[in-house]
Amino acid sequence: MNAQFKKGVLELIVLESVRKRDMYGYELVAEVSKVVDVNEGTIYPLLKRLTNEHYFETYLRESSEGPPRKYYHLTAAGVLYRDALESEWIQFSKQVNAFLKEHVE
Amino acid sequence: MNKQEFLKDLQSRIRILADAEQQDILAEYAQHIDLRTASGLSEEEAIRDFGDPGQLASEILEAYHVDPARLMAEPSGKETADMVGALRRAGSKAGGTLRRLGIRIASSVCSIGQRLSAGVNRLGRWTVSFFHQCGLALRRLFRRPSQSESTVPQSVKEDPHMNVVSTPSHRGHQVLRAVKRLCTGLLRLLWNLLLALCAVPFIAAGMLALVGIGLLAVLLIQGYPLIGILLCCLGAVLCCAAILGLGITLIWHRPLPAENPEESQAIEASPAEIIVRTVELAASQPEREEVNHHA
Repeated sequence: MNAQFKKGVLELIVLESVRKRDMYGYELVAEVSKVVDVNEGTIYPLLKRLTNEHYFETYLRESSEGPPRKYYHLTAAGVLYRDALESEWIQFSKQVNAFLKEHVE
Repeated sequence: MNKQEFLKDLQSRIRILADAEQQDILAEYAQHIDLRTASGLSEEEAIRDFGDPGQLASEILEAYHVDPARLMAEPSGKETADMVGALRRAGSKAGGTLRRLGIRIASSVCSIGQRLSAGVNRLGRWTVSFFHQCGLALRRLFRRPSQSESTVPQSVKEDPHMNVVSTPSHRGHQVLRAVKRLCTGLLRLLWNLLLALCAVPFIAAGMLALVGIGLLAVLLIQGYPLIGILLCCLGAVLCCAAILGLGITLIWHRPLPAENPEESQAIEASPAEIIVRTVELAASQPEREEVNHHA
């Protein structure tokens, strides 16, 4: 898949994944990897950026094995941002699909 | 590249960030690598999945709105990052020592101030008590004759004839006292008016300076370099307040105890004296009734 395509929707996928339940970094990478084949290196900086912009809150929780894990939680601002991104994506994909269909016909 | 090398390399690239953030980021990557190796991958493979470390670092820095191109484009990017890190550490160290120094200075100034204020307090109390003692001594000196005078008519009151004789001197005394009271009242009024007149310009200046402080504070927040004038205004307000405070202490209050000597005597008299006087009064009352009856 085109790397440029991925980069655009990765934010939406990450936000949607965390909206369903709080996740820690590794879990989130695995979750996103189910949807798009993604480089791990791009997800952590993205999480950092969304946290810095207050769309995510983080907290530490003990795990049965290893050190405590940092969980990400979607804030109210994050939910609003996710909804905005979703509607943008829907409109965008609709327009692109309509354009492509026009040319096929 | 193994885990330690990768983490060290990454840290050197994100050195511009705050120490806590660096540790946070590195811990997360370390944990990710640990979890990958636990699921059966080798460290090398796990690290390869992160892609190019330079690209990774620039994406991390982008999350902090640090322009990675400018840091990385320069050949001395790493060195500048090192330098910035060192500078930051030196700055924080200097800040810590300065803060400690500030705290020590503040505490010593506080203790000096406390000692000074205690000393001034003691001096003030001593002065007040000294003047109080002086005043008491003076009053005792001047009061004694008047006291004997005021007791004389009471004891003579039984005789109507003697009473008539003593009236003129008593009335003259009262007139004198009234004139004196009037004079002091007028003087007091004049003095207080003068004080009020003097206070008006200071009040006006203080108000002006207060308004100036408000205006300057707003302008300062907007970015104008007006801190000096603001401090001047603050000083002016404090000066005006201090001068007004001085003026308030100079106001000539109505000397309540001095106005009514008998009352002041009652205040100053010891309980035993009061009892004696009330007994005398009670004893003299039936006698006066008897006098009325005779009349």
